[in-house]
Amino acid sequence: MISESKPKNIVELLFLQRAGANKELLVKTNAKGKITEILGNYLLFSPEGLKPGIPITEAFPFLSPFFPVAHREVVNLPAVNLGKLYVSVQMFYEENRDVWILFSDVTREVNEVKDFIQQNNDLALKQKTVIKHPPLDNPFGNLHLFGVVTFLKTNNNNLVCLGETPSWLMEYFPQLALAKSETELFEIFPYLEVFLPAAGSFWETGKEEMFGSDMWIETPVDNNELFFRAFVTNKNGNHYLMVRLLDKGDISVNQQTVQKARDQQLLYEKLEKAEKELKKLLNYKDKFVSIVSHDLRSPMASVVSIAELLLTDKQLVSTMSEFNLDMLRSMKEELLRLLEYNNRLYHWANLELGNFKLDREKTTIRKLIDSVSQTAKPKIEAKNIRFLSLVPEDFEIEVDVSLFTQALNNLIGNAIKFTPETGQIEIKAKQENGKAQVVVSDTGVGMPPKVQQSVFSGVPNESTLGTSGEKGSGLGLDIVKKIMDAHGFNIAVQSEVGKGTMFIINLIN
Amino acid sequence: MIKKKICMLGSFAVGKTSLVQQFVNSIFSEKYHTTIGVKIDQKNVLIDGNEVTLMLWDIHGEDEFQKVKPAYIMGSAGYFIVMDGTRRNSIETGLELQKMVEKTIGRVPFIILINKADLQDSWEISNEDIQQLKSMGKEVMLTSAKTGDAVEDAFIKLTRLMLK
Ligand SMILES: Nc1nc2c(ncn2[C@@H]2O[C@H](COP(=O)(O)OP(=O)(O)O)[C@@H](O)[C@H]2O)c(=O)[nH]1
Ligand SMILES: [Mg+2]
Repeated sequence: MISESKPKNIVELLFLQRAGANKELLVKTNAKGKITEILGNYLLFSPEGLKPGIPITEAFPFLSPFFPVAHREVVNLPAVNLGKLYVSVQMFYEENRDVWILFSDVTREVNEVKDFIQQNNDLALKQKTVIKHPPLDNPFGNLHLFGVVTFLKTNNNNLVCLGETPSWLMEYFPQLALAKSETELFEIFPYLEVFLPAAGSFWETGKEEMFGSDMWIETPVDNNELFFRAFVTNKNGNHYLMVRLLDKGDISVNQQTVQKARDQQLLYEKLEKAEKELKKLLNYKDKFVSIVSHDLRSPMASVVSIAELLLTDKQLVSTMSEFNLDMLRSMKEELLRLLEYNNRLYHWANLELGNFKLDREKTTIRKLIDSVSQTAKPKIEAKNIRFLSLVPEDFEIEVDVSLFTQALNNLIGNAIKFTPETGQIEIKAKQENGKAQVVVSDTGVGMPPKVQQSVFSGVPNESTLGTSGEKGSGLGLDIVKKIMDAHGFNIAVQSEVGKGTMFIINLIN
Repeated sequence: MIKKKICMLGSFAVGKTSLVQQFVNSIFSEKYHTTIGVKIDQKNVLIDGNEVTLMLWDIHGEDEFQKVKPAYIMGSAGYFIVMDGTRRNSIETGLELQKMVEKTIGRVPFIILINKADLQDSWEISNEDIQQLKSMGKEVMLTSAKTGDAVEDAFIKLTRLMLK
């Protein structure tokens, strides 16, 4: 979803940043037009004085059609004549229907183009046939200059068009000036059928405020959308109806905001869909890996047994050359490694799939670590590494024994891999003020900060060779992390290049 | 001549404006241009010897930016609830609007249009969903404002229901 920043801040900021702030005035009003804040040079625009509390329409009567606010939009009145001054007025509506009104002195700019516009208008008027109608005065003044047509509702429920009419009426809806009843009006603007019942109730209140409709769209010429709003009010006991053509440019600002938000929403929905698809694919991949690695297990294991069988057959061995014997041995080693790798792959895919149930049982850390050191013994001895384990005898935990053992195996395996000959590996378990930790540390090559960050990122790392060229699957630590997550434990790593690495498991329950 | 008001209702960007454009002007645009405010189009149709002027009220879509006001629906002789086959959540919005209409003006004929039938390969609305809507006793049609498929049929069918 998009977050809407408060227009207030934007407007205020924009205003304060403008160099010409002394030729500008910014006024905030509530929805009814009562002034609540004034910023800038008000004396220039309203010498009689503006002050909070009075209605803005008192100081600037030409703003009457815009209050009270009925719809959020930006209004732009480009050149309003206030005596000697020409002023451009922009109105920004806030969510809560407060309004910011920015007045800018554009006298100089207008004067520069005035003559040109005058000539242009004279020409345009000559070319147009103007429909004349009874020239009843409009008590609200020259509203037609702001694109407003005004009707008076007579006592016998007829409508009479007042004063001069705006240019859009002449151009697109000349019959509007002749409309004599609501029914005739509906023929031209069917939208008013939903507004006039509400307007009727408003007229009955006799209130001298403005009551506005929502926006509607007309397309008198192909594909040229015109936006309209209607207003009603009372004055001296009479009822009035006004229809205003909204400025196209101003509408589009509002339109763009909603459009952007909706485009974003559509995009977001698309992304969500793509993500779902991707998850399905990933899930499929994990299933695939799980099945294949499972099915490869037993044929591989039987080949390993056959190799073992051959190697223990004294008679056969005595007939083989030393070279062939070496080949057979390394074949067995490689196959064992492959089997181990395959096992990890299987575990990883299943953890990823969430396809496993924790089978927790009570045991002691000591028991688990004894079994793990038993497994690691051959490799530790081969690399002449000192192995220390500092574990209290009575330290009980409740874990899935086979998974947790696998995790410890991976951690110790990792430590052996990256600890050079004659180094040291230490496994410690401690219980202190309700906190329980298992720490595996080594005096190995350590990891640079970047590797430390990615170790538990959930993306398996490229395998790195160990200090004696040991190969690995790159999945080991990822599996550890998944096992810890499944238990609700957390695991952290501390490491320094050249000094060693320490994995800390916090056994929180 | 008989005049009848028909409302186009549904979530945003489901194709309400496009359906009206296809029916009234036989045009379609790929570009999404959100409708702000209300747009009313008219079209005369001849149905079983009756000439009827349809007033098609294209009301902006319902979402957190704009709400459909009950006043817009007053006086409707029938309405369409438009859903977008490629967006499952448009079902829910559509059904909510339908309830709102029934509360406001009572029972008048309506048809659920599941639009964008030309994109059926990437639809999120399934046959089961459609069957479920039908089993709730609702009239459902699949349309495409793009190809024009079933668009005219839908308007004619609704008008017939309204004239009954
Ligand atoms: N492919 C396809 N796109 C459509 C169809 N109907 C509408 N669209 C597109 O969907 C988007 C929204 O349509 P629109 O009529 O503005 O929706 P509304 O907000 O409900 O009025 C636009 O990009 C249209 O081009 C349709 O039947 N098929
Ligand atoms: Mg639309």
